[in-house]
Amino acid sequence: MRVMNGPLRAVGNHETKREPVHPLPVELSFDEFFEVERGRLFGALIIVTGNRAEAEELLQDAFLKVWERWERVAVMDEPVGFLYRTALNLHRKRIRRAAVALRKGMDLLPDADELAVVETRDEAVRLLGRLTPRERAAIVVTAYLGYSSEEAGRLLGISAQTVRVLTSRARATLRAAGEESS
Amino acid sequence: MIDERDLVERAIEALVKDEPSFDGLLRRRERKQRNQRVAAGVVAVVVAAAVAGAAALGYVRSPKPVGSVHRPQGTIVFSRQTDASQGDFVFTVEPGGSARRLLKKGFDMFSVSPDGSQLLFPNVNENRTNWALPAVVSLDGSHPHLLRRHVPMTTLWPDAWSPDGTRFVGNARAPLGSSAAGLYTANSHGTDLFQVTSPPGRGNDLAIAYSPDGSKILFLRFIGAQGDQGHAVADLFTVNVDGTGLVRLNPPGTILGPWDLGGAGAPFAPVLDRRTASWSPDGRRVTFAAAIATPSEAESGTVERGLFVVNADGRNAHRIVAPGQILDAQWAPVGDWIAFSQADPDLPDIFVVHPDGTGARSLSSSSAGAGSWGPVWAPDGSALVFTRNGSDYQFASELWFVNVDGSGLTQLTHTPAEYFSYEWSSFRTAS
Repeated sequence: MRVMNGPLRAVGNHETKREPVHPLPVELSFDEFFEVERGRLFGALIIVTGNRAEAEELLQDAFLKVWERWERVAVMDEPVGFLYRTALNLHRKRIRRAAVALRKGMDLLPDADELAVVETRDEAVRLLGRLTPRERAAIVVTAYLGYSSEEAGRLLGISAQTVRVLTSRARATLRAAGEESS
Repeated sequence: MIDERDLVERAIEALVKDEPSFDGLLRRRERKQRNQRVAAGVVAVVVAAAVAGAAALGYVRSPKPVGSVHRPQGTIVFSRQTDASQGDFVFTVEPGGSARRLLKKGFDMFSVSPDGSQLLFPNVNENRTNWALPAVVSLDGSHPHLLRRHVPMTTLWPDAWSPDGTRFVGNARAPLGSSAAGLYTANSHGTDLFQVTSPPGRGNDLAIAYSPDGSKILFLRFIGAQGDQGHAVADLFTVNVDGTGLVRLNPPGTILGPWDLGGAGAPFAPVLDRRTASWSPDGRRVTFAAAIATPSEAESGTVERGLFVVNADGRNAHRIVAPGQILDAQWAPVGDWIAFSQADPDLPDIFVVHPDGTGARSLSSSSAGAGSWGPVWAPDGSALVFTRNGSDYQFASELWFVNVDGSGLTQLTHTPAEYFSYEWSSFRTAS
């Protein structure tokens, strides 16, 4: 049994001034790691992709990559960070290929942004649905997962400055939406 | 003030009713392992055939003397993206890896003219989605200009030059159902527009190349509706340049693509669809990589993929190696080789094989944890450039060079990135 005591990666987390969420329990096997992390990753991916099916597919692919390398991943300082990097990297790849396909008249990504169209009484879901997918991704990776703008930029395939712009816009939208509803 | 982390946590709590199960992960893993076993068997067969063939033919691999590494003449042109927000940059580099220079920014697909002196590329207007017009630029970066300023459709995306450089073929997009969609040719000044194909329904055509004599066009016809995983598949056709003589080349039960799955779980396979098929030097045959499956089966990603050779009239389509996870098919412009990449079983490697299926051998090794794919031939057929990835990071690949005899394996670039397109020009820009 490998010992894992690395917290979720939060490089240069001076912007949020928070401890990384969900430090890993020690002495986890892969299936235990899956049980511990699946819900949070699934949730993060639903928010990022706006699509439940897309999120589940990304989650499975990311966990499979971790599983195939478990001997190596388990002894990493930040196995959870590796999981999220892998998942977001896969998401970025799909976006990239979808952009290429778009120019050929095809749509590779799901049409519906479930978060934007969902009829819900849940205020949090409704508020996040006001954001663009890019803004949501920036908020999830920085505020929820605790990455710095630089690291978030690398994960999302955009510059740190763009991350800051996106989070700033997202905050303005959320603030305005919050004032509307209050 | 809104606490964003709390907001996301509350949204997740509301959205996540049923978390993905471990059983689901197991089923996905089993599918992947089944593919890997198939591919491993295929590789063993290929290697054994290569060894037996070499023995039978008395083939002896002759190692190149140290210090006399062969380097084809010319220039390699490649597009690179290190940061999605910055877009793609196009560079040129000598085959030895020296004299790299920035050529242009803003596009990732291009076609080198037959004389090697200029690039045909889509001039994309970032403010108008999917808007692009054909443009050219000299290989030294000078004289960029649009070939057409207006087209009678929403966009005209240039694909390939004719062999004599007098015309080019591009794919046009138009409002759904409009007959304006399809392949068009135009002369090298962008005038004399001629519609060659008109795909049915939501289909979309993408030209791969003119035949060597310039009389036909090899192209992919994408099947409009995507499957539940949203992956695109296509059939392979040839058509005369006057629009007559449409011939489907991939036999029933096969389909080209999808391109974003990779082979046998290969973690990265941004294989350009235009590398999936190519003409023989005499234009009498075509080689292509195709899934041996229906479109829906192919989209599921659980199928074998074969390397085929077919006559240009659509007859005698046959596999030349055992089916496996084959990603691309590139016929050497000179010589008697077809290059392809195949998962081995997890990470893909570069192979060459004679068109009759003999002499198969690997030119790269994934044993060090690096996958290789996307072989592109030098104009003289003596060497290849390809993509290699040595890490889990999708955008951490590099371009490499290798001679067709396996010697001279060299890393050409030293910036981890996505190298989406690359071609070899016979034109030499550096002094």
